[in-house]
Amino acid sequence: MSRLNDLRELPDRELLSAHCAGDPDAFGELFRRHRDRMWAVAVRTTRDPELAADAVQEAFIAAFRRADSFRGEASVTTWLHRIVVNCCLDRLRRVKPTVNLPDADLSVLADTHDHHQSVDVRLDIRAALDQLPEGQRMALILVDMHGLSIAEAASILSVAEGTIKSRCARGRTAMVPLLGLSPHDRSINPPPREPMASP
Amino acid sequence: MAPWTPAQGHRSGPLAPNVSRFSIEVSTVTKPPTPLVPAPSPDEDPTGVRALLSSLPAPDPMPEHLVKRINASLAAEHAQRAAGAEDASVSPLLATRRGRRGRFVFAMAGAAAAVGLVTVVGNGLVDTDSTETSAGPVTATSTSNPKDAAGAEAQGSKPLAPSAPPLVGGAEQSSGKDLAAAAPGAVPAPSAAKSSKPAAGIASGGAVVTIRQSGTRYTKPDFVMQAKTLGQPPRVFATREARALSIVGPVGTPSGLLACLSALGAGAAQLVWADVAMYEGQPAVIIVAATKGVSIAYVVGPQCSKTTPEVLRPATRLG
Repeated sequence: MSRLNDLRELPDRELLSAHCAGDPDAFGELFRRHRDRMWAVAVRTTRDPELAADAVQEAFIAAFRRADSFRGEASVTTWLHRIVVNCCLDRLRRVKPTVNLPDADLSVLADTHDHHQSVDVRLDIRAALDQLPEGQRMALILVDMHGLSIAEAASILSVAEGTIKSRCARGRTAMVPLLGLSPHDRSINPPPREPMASP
Repeated sequence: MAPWTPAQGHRSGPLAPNVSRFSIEVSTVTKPPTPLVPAPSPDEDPTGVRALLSSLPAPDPMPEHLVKRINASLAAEHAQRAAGAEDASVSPLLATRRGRRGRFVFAMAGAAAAVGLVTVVGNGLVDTDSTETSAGPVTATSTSNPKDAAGAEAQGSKPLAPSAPPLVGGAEQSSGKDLAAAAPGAVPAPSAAKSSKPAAGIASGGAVVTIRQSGTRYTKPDFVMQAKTLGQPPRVFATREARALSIVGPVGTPSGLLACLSALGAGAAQLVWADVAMYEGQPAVIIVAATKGVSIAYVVGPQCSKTTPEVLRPATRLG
């Protein structure tokens, strides 16, 4: 028991190193530490608990096997996020291959009824998020819903920070008509153009 | 009025002494100091959407059953890692990476060709010729050649439940050969496929699944060698064993098998062979799952499911 307590004192990087060195309990502690957060990311990304469960399991197994590929350039939690998000997106694409709508067409999908104060708001938000292109949706999930920094989200999604900023801005702007928000928002400015370099 | 002269200086004009017209102009165009207003942050959100999103409640913690499932998978990984060190001297079941890829492509091409001939939709493909099992039914729902469909039914197929998830694959003989040809390594697959008529299919997840029922008695000491014989003709086994094997659960169907593999952390396998057989005297399903060129053998109980893996032997890496 004291050994497990010792493990709980270790930072993530040392746990991962211990796992690579053959410690049988180190990865279990990492799993215990991050499972709820990874679960939340998976559920919000897939919106399907079963898909999320499979993706999270696959992700932790992958992390277990590929622990020695962790190069320490990002934090362990960012590395785990990246694996989980990739597993989720892979499964989503397998289950439901979709073609993203161009940004300009999103406004025609807007739900114009005025009920954003009602109990249905959460459902509306999820439905609206689903209408966004994958890149914008993931940026909003990571930055706005999970409170990650622009830099962390960029690292997780393997894109430039500027790309995350523009995706957030575009995604938020696209969400306004989809949520039927009243435009107090005459002040809404067009978002910056997304850099061409990143996917 | 007397004309202005330089000697008179500025006393004769409205300007103050020692101040030139030029200097006055300069002072009038000087801008007042601008107030220090910070530039707008890229994180600012005039739409209010960010605040809306961040106010959503976080999902519940990971469900306990999933925690157990993943812990079981991680434990299996540990066991495999430990066993990997022990079995380091075991030669890989599959010959070479290049060879495997070639066979995989060949198998996929064969499977695709078979799909062109016969389309089988069902949730169970265990061959029922040799023994009675509780595996799910199979039927040919569409075909370009009625003879092929009849052939599929002649192999022991039963009507399909309407709600069964779709599974497309080749029940036709040639596809069985191709898929078996891609089976782990030294397996004499084609003849085996012919005699034991393994059921093969491409599950909805994309994995090529071959399930057969040989009744082989796998044992702990000889497991690795025996796993190589996956695909050989089934022997005739005793009635008691046949009865025991008949209790195989959903793992006897491709979808159930993939769910079981998912519980084992191998849900992403590309090629899967399963043998409904015996392990150490008890009914078991021996599974070989190949993912990105790595083959791993699993031994699970006949009731292995997504939530209950029923691991009878730690995962064994074959190559």
